Amino acid sequence: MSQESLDDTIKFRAGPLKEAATELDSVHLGGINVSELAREGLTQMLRRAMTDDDKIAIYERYSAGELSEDAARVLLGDEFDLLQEDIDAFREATDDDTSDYLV
Amino acid sequence: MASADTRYPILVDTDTLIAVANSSLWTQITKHVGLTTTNVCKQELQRHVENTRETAPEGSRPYRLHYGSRTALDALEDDEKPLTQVTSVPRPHGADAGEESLRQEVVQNPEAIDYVILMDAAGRRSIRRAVDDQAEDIRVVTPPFLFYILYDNELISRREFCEACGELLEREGWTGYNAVKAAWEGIPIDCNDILDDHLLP
Repeated sequence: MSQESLDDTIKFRAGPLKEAATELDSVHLGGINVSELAREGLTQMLRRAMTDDDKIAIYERYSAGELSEDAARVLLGDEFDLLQEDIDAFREATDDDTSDYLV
Repeated sequence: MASADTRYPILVDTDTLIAVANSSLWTQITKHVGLTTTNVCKQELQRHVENTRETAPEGSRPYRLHYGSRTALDALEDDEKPLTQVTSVPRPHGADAGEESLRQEVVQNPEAIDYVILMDAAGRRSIRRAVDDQAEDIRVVTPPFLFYILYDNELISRREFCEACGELLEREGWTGYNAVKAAWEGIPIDCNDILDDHLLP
C-alpha cells in the first residue's frame, strides 16, 4: 500500500493510558516502544472483536476491491493466506482428470 | 464394491465426512466416488454419535454431528458403498487425532494417495507441509472438491453443485466460507441465479 497510509494516525484521548505508557517507558530497562505496542494491541483487539460473519464480510470487500490487501491482512491475519492457498490448490486440482476417481 | 482391503486414493477426514453426509449430494457421492478414511476418524464419528443426542434440535450443530456421523458410519459399514478405512499405526491420540492420522498416512503411504480432503483450513496447511517435506505429488483440497468431481463428470447439474455449496456455507460459517470460496474462485462456476443473495459473495 502507499506510503501515505503508513503515515496515517489514529487519535484518541489517552489520559491515564499516556501516563501509564510514559511511566512504563521510564522504568522498563531499555524503554518500550509505545507506538509499536499500540499498533500490535489494536491489531489484536480488532481481530478479537471480529465474528465469523465479520470475517466473511471483510473478505468479500477485499474481493470486490473495496478494501486493501494490507487492511484485509490486518484483520484476517494468517487466515488470509490460508484462503489464498486453498484457492490455488482447488484451481490446480480442477486441471486433473476427475473421472479417475469414479467407481 | 468395497472389500475390507480396498483403498481409494481420496483420503477424507472426520469433519469432511460429516459435512458431505449432511449434504444433499451424499447419495450421489457414495454411489460414484471412492473414498478412504482412517480408523481414528471412524472412532471420532462414533464418539460424536455417542456424545450428541438424537433429539438435538434439528439444524443445530449437535444434530448435524449426530446424524452426519451416523450416516457416514452406516456407509462405512456397508460393503456396497465405496467408503473404506485404513488403520493408523501408531494410533494418534488427542483432540487432533483424526487430522494427525491423515498426516501419518501421507507420510507412510504417499503412493496410495492422490487427494487429501479436510474441513479445517489450518489442518490443510499442516498436511500440505507434510506433502511438501516429502516432495510428493498429493493435492490437499477443501470438501467441495467432492461436489466438483460429480459436477465435472456430469453426474449432477450446476444447480445441484451450487445448492450443495450453499448448504455448506450456511452450516459451517467461516470454515465453510473458506471451503466454498476456494471452490468458486478455483472453478468459475456462477451460482448467482441459484443461491439467495445472502449466501453469495
